[in-house]
Amino acid sequence: MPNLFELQTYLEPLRLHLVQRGLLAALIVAILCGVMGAFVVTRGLAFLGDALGHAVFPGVVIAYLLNFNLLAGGLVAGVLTTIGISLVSRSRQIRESTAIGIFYTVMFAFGALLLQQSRSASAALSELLIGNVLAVRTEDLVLTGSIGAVVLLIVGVMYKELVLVSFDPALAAALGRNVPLTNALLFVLLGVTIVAALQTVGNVLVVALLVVPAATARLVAKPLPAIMGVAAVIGALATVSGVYISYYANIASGGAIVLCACLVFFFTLLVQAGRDRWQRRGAQ
Amino acid sequence: MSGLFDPATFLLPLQQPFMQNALVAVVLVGLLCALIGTFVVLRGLAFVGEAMRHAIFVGVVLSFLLGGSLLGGALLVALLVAWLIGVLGRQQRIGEDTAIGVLFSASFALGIVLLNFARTGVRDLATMLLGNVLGIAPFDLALTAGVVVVALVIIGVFFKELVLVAFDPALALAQGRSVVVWDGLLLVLLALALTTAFQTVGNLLVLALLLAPATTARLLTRRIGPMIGVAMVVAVSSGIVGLYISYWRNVPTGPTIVLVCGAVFGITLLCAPEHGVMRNVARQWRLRRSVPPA
Repeated sequence: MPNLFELQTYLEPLRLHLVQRGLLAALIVAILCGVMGAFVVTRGLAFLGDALGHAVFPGVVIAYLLNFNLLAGGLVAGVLTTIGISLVSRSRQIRESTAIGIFYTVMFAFGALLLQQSRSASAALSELLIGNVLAVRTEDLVLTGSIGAVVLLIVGVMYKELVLVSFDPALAAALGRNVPLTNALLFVLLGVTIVAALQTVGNVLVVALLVVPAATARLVAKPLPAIMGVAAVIGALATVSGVYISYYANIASGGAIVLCACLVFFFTLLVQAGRDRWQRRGAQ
Repeated sequence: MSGLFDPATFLLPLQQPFMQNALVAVVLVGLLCALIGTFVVLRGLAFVGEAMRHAIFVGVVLSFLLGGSLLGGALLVALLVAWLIGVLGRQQRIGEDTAIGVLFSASFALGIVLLNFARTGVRDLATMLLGNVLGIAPFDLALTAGVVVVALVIIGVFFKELVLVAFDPALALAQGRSVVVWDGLLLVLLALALTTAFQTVGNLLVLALLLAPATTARLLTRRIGPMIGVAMVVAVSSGIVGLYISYWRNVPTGPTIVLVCGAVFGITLLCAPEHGVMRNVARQWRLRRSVPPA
């Protein structure tokens, strides 16, 4: 057990280049997920985010087998899935959540079968599923950074449109905005975020970074920009502590990061519940 | 591969005991998933199922570490998560979708971290997630059969109530029935199905077997009885076809079954006589032609 009150405990891991790179990449992902997570939580897109996290899998595998850019492969698969889900859930017979559930499992099964064709399947599979912050290379870091910058830039420029379409699609349509196109843009941004986060926290836990910090932020803040800011800060804090814990306790970094974020969420929830009860008693 | 019309093509693999066991398992799990999946689809519980299967993952890892019954541990955690979804989802500032997202993230992350401590002996992550029906033990088979019987009896006895709550919760409430109780029963059944199907198609792919056959049936019929029947036929036959394909081609069984299931769903979605995509397109085209151009 390292001494928690000694500066050395915190500086020592940072001497290693792989920890520096991993921490930086995870921080970028956390901030990105905080901003996009605000949309996910306020619009109730958690299941879609979860499904996209799984559905990009076959694209990533195909790209991996063909020695192609993983990110591009994942993006193509993500966009195809989104189109498929929206087409299928147009049928009045099928709920959107059912369509999401079928689509992502089938996509994932496809990816798993494809991966079986390659030699290093099992290791690669678990890497993709649970991620590994400490395996981030310099070019990955550059790529994640530029993706993050582009997504944040687009959200910044299109902010008014995205918010309008998210919260009042009828008004947006009346104002002559193209609602389906703006929604599609939001989903593509979500897909890009998920693919960028793949390597850091892994396929399965991406949705956690999207949902948990933003859900916590929503407990304490109301305006959307505030939710984004608080979520980014919580995500970043969870990431830093998760990376340190995974370094010292030698556990999977993705799991550690998400558990830290969940702890913050449940703590906030308890504090709020306690405060509410106290206030109600005061009012009586 | 010999000819498809030669009975030996299908009978020869069955001489191996592991294939016999796998075949029985696939049929049993298919029946169970179709039966419960119908109610899950009608009630719109797909995302709840998604959360539960994550909870089952942590339940299995936990009971492995503590040395308890895998099935018991998985069930317990799944029901705990279902209850928490109910409690958290009712909070106005959280909402059901987010509550489910948070809970399954938490449980899955916990499962992965716990898996770290159980490196030795625990089946590897890929097997857990994708299933291994060819390695199913006779005891698990008996357990699965027991679960199928229990589910059939429960649904048979409470059929009317379950159907009413699944189709029209508001009406059920107005008639003085407790929606919470019947939803709770459905959630217990869902947890049972997810846990039992764990070994056949794996934790990650269970949802497909639960949703795809029932949705296929929904596209073909409106009545609940035939819907369950069609779902069962789809689930069982995709299970068997997937098992054989995976045997001949030497590919993992779980994903193959899911892909066969998905293919059946996709074809039905395109070609269904009343609600199919092709029929809808044709209908729209005829409508457009019948209206004279302005």
